[in-house]
Amino acid sequence: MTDGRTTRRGLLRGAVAAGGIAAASGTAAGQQDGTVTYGDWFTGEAEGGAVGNYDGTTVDERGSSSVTIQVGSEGNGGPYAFGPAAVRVDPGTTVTFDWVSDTHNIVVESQPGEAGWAGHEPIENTGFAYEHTFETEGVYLYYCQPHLPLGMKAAIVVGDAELVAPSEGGPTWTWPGGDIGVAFMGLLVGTAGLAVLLMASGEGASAVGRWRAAAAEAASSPLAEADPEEPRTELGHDDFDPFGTAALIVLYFLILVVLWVFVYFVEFLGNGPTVIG
Amino acid sequence: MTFVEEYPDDAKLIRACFAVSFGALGIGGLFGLIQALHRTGVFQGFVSSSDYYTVLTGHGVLLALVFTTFFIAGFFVWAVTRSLEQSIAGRLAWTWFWLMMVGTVLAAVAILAGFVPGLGISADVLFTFYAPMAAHPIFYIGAALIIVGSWIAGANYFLAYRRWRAAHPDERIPLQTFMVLTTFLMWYLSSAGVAVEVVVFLIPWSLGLIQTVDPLLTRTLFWYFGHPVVYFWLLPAYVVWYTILPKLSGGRLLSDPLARVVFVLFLLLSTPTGFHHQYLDPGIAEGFKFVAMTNTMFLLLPSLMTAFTVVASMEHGARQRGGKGYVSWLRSLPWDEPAFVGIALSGLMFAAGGFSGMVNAGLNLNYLIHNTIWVPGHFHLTVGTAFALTAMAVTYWLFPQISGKRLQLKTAALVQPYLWFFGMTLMSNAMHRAGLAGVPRRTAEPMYPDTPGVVFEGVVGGIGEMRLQIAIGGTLLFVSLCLFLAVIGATWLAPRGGTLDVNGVIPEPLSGAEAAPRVLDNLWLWTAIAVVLVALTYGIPLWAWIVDGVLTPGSPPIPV
Amino acid sequence: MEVHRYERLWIAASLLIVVAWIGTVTWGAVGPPGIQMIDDAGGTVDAGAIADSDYGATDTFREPGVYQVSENHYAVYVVARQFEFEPGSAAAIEVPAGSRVTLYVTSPDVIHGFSVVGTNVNAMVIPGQVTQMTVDFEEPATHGIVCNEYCGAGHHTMAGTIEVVPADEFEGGDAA
Repeated sequence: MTDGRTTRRGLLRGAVAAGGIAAASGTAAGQQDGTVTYGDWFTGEAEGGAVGNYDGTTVDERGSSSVTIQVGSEGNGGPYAFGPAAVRVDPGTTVTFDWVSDTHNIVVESQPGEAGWAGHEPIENTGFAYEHTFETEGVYLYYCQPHLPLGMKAAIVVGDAELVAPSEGGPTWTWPGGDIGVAFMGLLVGTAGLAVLLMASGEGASAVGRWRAAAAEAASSPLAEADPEEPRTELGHDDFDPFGTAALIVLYFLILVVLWVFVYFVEFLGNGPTVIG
Repeated sequence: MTFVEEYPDDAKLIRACFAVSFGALGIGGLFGLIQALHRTGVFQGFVSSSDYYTVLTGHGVLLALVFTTFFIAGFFVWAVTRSLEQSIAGRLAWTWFWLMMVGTVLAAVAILAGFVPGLGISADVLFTFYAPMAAHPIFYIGAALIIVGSWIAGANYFLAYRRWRAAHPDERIPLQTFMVLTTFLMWYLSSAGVAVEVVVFLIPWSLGLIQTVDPLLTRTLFWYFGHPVVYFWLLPAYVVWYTILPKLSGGRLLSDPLARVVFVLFLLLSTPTGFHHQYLDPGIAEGFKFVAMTNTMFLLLPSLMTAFTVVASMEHGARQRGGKGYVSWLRSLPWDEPAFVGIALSGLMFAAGGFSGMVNAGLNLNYLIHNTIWVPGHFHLTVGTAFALTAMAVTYWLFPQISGKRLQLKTAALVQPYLWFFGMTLMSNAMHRAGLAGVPRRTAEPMYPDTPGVVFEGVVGGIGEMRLQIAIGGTLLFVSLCLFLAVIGATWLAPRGGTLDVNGVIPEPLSGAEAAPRVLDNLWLWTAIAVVLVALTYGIPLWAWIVDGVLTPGSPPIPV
Repeated sequence: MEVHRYERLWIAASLLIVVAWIGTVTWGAVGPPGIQMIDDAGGTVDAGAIADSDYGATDTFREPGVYQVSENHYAVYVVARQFEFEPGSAAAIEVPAGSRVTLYVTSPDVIHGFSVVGTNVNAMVIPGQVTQMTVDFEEPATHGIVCNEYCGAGHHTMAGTIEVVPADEFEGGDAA
């Protein structure tokens, strides 16, 4: 029932399963000169966005016979991180993945060609543990499926190959919201700034002074209410016939009926498959 | 004599309530601006998308719980004091004020702590705080204290009424006090649900004293309260529309008896409708949902009646001012008076909000718009304008009387309600249309990248244009809010004294209390009937869930 | 108590509105559209069992996927969790055009929404309850699924896909 055809992630996994190197994504690979790179895996350019708990360092666990990576540690706005996000181990090390919170899995994004690591795709909860012994040297990129959009990604480097930054230039920062966002915020901030300047200026100060004086002047007489308004024509109970209200309410009635018919029979009944059982 | 001179202690209490209320309005409104810009993708630099939900919780709780409850409590102090002609602000009054204050601070701390990573305190559960999502215990404790404080406020009003009744055994209950008492009877009946949810289930559960709660049961208890709470907000607005708006229009209320009938209908029908918020929930048989639908449709009646009575009372004022014709009498109304303008425009907007409410209530029709952004489009017209704009506008009339200060910055005060109306028109119409296209609510991002099939297609207009309208509308609303706060702030700072521009005289209705059947004043009778209706609607489903295990099928807390 | 003639007329008109609205909705249910509300037919389930993927432990739910029940009737079991639909997010749900599909949705963690964008297929998913709904998918189409009930920090990322493929392209679900 797993259909790899229709989503990009599915496409990548299909390619990995076939044993090929994931070339389409342009992420990590063993590079020609023997160095390795994460590519843009941890940045906002790759799917899932920036990884909050990756600070650029790769924890060096070479020499350790067993290494533990926490699955679902705090990070990325909740329990949505691998800890540590990037780690380097010797070939032949057994890595234990320890679930410390619920609803996570391990899906392999890319790995060295002959490695054949399947990850652990069933969703597991706190307390679950999974082990894999990493033999093949190179860079392994992996993520947690339900929390990929939050940035739950990680990497393991096996062996001593030098880790370098991606050869392409860094991502260019674009204003969120595009041109409309720029225009909007410019207008908002500009107007607010202008208002503040006006208020803080000499004009503003003297306006406050004049207001103060006028208020004090008006308050100098004893406190009293205004006189009640005298109606131009007094209408008693029997003099008043609300025919104006009747006219408006007939209009309202018609609007209600038209809108109801439109929403129910056009919008609702025309809106594609409906629950019939 | 002005109110502040005649009842200085009550005036002070009302000012305190308004101060907290408008403070919450200001912060909640700022959050609203951040949301409007973030959600539409125009500017996402203020907060991350995860923190958006902290902002959203703050917006909902500060506006729909704190701004509303404090304003209503203070406004009702004025209404009861004035209509019973006795001071009610004693030790009991300050007790409920401080209890609500403590609750507010606790809840606010729990919510705002969500911005500070590493504290381990957060309450990103939104205004509805559905289990199994769990907030920090102090959020629930704070919310509970606000509700309990409001109960004591009700006791304050009832005790005052009892004192008055002893001295006036045969008189009809003065209209404003009648409205306050029926509103609070409805409030006691309805808030019992959320009180049980929070005190019996959520607080022990968040403290670890019980392991699981039944999410469907707690959600149902919330919505038992969640529908009538909107009438807790609407009925005070109706108090303004029935008793103050006619005077501001230059006329008199058409009919006191009809107003009493409307409030009694709300007492009877507000609570047995809660399942209409759960039309698409599993675990609830269709029969209960159908009954909720019919009850809700009948609940349209008091609002439709209000439309006629209130507009007719305005027409009376317009004609007394010299208005003629079928429609042109509208021009004779005082469109240069800020209080009148705000209240009248909020009534107009409510007529539109009422329609989108009818759609929400339509059982199977609910499939079309449930949890889409149509729903916030609807409630920004109702609580966001009918309540909020009425509250702001009546403050222009009331504040001078309770402070002894002339209203300052009158031009700003006049522009404010027009700007609010215009901004809300833009924002709300776009939300309604986007909801018809399937755009969801309560979500931080406008789009779902990388998922085939998630495409929003507008019927009239494009999605991008709708987003822009929401951003612009939200910004205009924020500017309008700033104008309001500036006016009230300047008035607060002004010196006391002088001749005010307002007077507190409210003329007698055209058809007075003596024309109202005595049975309308029989509050015990109406309360008993209301309780029976609630038992009929909620009795069977709640009993079934209690009997199968009050904590099962259960879920442990999931912190957010 | 006297009520002005116009207001009496308006109250009558209002009652008419109320009855007409109730009538429309009832017609939608018992008339040709035959729209049914989500109800308790799905039964209850232990959310903990779903969280542990222990599908054998319950008889109201089974392993997520598409199953063929009869000639033209398919059952789709979906788990909605923070923050994906299984199936739906990682792999699209695939059903043939012209079929009747009964969806069974539940959640192991918090309350979610299940909304097929641009259609009237819209439901709440509550831990401990199974949401059951039957839909006719007539035309081939790609439908998006969106979670429309706030469910946590990643709520805005929770979406999926239903592929309604032409009948001859459908690869078949698992046996019921």
